[in-house]
Parts: sequence; C-alpha cells; structure tokens
Amino acid sequence: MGVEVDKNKVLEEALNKLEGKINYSLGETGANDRDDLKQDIILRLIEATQKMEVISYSSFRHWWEENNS
Amino acid sequence: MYGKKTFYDDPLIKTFFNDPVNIKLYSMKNNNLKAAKEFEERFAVFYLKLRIISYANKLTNYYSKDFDKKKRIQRDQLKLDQPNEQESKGLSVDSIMSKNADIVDNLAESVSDLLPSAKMKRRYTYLSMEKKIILHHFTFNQLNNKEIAQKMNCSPQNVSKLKSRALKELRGG
Repeated sequence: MGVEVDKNKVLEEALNKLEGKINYSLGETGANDRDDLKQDIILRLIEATQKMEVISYSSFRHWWEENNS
Repeated sequence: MYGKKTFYDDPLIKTFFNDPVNIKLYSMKNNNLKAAKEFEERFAVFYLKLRIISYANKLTNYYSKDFDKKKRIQRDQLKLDQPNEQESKGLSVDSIMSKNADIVDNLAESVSDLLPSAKMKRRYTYLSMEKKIILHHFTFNQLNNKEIAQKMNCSPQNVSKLKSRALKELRGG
C-alpha cells in the first residue's frame, strides 16, 4: 500500500526530540561553534530526509521476512 | 521454532506496538480500509522519524569528534615554549595564526588567552604596548607586517623587528 507522508512535519517533530541530544553532544564546543555546527547538522538532515524513502508497514514486513527467514 | 525470532520480536516492531493506537488500528485494518491506511501511514512516520534520529545521532557524534580533533591541533600548535624545527627556521606563530585563525578567534579574546603557560602569560604583561598591539593585529586581525605598519604609522621592517622581539621575550629569550 503506497503511503504519503509530510516529510517536513516528521523532520520537525524529530528535531524537537533531538535538540537536547544535539546540544548535549556539542556541549564541549564554544557557543559560536555550537550554533554553527547545529545549523550545519540541520541543513544536512533536511537534505538527507528529502532523499529518504517512505516505507510502509507492509513494505517493511515484506523486507523483514525476506531478510530474516 | 524454538528460539527463532519472529517479526513481532524485532525491537523496532515492539516499540511501534507500544502505542495502543497502533495495536487498535492493527486489529481493525483487515476490515476497515481507512484504519488500514492510517496504520500504514503511522508506521511510515514512525520509521522515517527513527531513521532521521539515527542519522542525526551519527552526524552529531561525527561533528563532536571532528571539533575535538581541531581543538587538539590548535593546542599542539600553541606550544610556543617548546622549540621545534619550524621555530629554528622562523616564527612558529605564523602557522598558528594562519591555520587556525577561525578557531582561535572563537576561543580567545586576547593574545594572553592563547599562551600555554603561566610563565608566558607573566612575560606577556611585561611587553611594551607597541608589541602587544602588533601581536594582537597579527593574531586576531590576521594582518601582515605591511598592514600593521600602516595602522601604526611605522615601517614594516620595524613591525617585523618588534614582532620577533616580542616572541623571543615570550619564549624567555
């Protein structure tokens, strides 16, 4: 079954969850660097998300059965 | 079949079914087209989000490690009190300023902040104001001798001489 997903919305939700983790991981860096690195990470994420294929439950199950049987 | 992992044992699927809404939709999907569509979409969002988070984790770790690496290089180059091959040929400060100017700018506000030992920081306080200004222009503004000379109304040769003396004094020479 083909599904449509609003990738931007999903990315936004993921970023809300990720902000703390990103800040924590970049915590050792200086304030200016951290902001720059965060911007860079977000830009790369936007780019990568657009390239990610949307996978439905049926497709995932089909893939799983083929690779784990 | 003993010990064999099933599809429902997969941690990813287990996590997905931790949400009661997903279990409910799953039970309805065979008789209800709308529920089936919603169920497929919810999984697609769930899986996409997981992949984004996983990718972001990798990126963040990579960036943090990369930053640490840059910081280590900077620290190594700031060892002014340890003579090296480069110093015997010329001024090691040239390489510090040009290669890591952007990192240095973000971490230090004065030349003194860049000096690696208390001894050197003390020697820095004894430098003349002229020498301090030259080192500041050289370090933070990345100006060459000619540009510093224009700012200070003196000759580039004079700047070069004062800069060499300042560095020699910092090294305790």
